[in-house]
Amino acid sequence: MMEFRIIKANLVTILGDAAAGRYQVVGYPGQSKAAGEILGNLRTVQVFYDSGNFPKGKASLTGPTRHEVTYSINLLVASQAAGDIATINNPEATPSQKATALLEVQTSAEQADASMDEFFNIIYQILMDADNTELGTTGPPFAVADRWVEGMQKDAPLPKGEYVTLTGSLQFGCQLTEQVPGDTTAPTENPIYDNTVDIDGDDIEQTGVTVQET
Amino acid sequence: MPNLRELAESDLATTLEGEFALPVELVDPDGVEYQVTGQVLYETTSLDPDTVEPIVVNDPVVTLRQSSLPRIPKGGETWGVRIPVTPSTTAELDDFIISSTKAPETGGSIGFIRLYLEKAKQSL
Repeated sequence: MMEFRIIKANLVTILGDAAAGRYQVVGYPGQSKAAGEILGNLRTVQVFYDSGNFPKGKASLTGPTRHEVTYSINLLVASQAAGDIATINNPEATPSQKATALLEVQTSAEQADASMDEFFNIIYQILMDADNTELGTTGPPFAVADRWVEGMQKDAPLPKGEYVTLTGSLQFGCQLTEQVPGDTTAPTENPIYDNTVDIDGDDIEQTGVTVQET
Repeated sequence: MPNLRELAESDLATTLEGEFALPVELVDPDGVEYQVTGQVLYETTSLDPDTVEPIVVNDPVVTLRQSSLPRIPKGGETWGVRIPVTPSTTAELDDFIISSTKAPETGGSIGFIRLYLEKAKQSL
C-alpha cells in the first residue's frame, strides 16, 4: 500500500487516540447527521486525502519517489445559545438581574465560533506534536520527511433548526517517500504453465504444470 | 360594524389563542416577564441539501397576536422564550432565545408576529 494511504489511516488513529471525549473522528458519513447529534464535544473531524504531487523526472525505475501530500481535515461543530438561564427563569430575580443575564447570553453563532476556534487549537496541537513527527510510521528508513499545516479556514455559521452548525477545514501537508513495487494483478485461479521442453527420449515434450495458490 | 381588517385581527383570538394555543413565557430585554398564549410549532419541512429530499427539521416557531403583547420583539433584541417541551398546556417548559440568525416576522397586515427560536442552555 502506498504511504499516503498508510498515513491517512495513521492520522485517523492519532486523532482518535487523542480525542479524550473532546470530539469524535468519523469516516465517510453514510448519511447526514442531525445538528443535535454533534453538539458540544460531539463535534466531528474527518480526514481525506486531498491532493498530492510528484517531482517530474526524479524517480528511479522502482522508486523511491517523493510525494508531497495534502490532507483535508474537515471539522464540524454544532452549538446552541448559552447564558444564565437560571436567573432569567427565576421568578424571584429582579427585572434588572434578568436583563443583565439576557445581555450576557451568547448566541448559538458565537458559541459555534468559539467551539471551532478551540477545535482548530486542539487538532493543530495534535498534528504538530513532536510525538507525531513520523505520523505513526516506523523506521529507518522513515517515510515522512516533513509535515506542516498549510492553513485553516472557517466557514459561515448556518442555522439548522434550533441550533447553528459551523464547518471548517485544516489543510495538512507532508512530504512522503513512496516505494514503487509495481502493481500486482489479481492471480488467475490455478494458472497452468504449459511450456515445450526439449527432453531426450520424450515424445510429449510438454510441462503441463498446474500451479495452485498457496 | 367593524371593518374586515379588524374582524381578521380579532379572529386571531381563535386561531392563535384558542383551543390549539399553548402557554408561552417571554422575558424582554428589560427583564420584564410576560405570560401569553400562542401557536407553537416544533418542526418545519426542509430539503436535505445532499439528497434534495424533504426532511423534517426541529425548528420551533412561535406565532403570537401582537395586540396581546405589551412589547413587540424586534430583530437584534435578545428575548428569553419558554415553550412546552410537548404540545400540552401542562408540559414542562424548555428554554430558548429568539433566533439571532432569523429576525421575527411581523404579519403586520393581520396583526401577528412569528418568532424563530434557538435552543439555550445554562452556561457553566
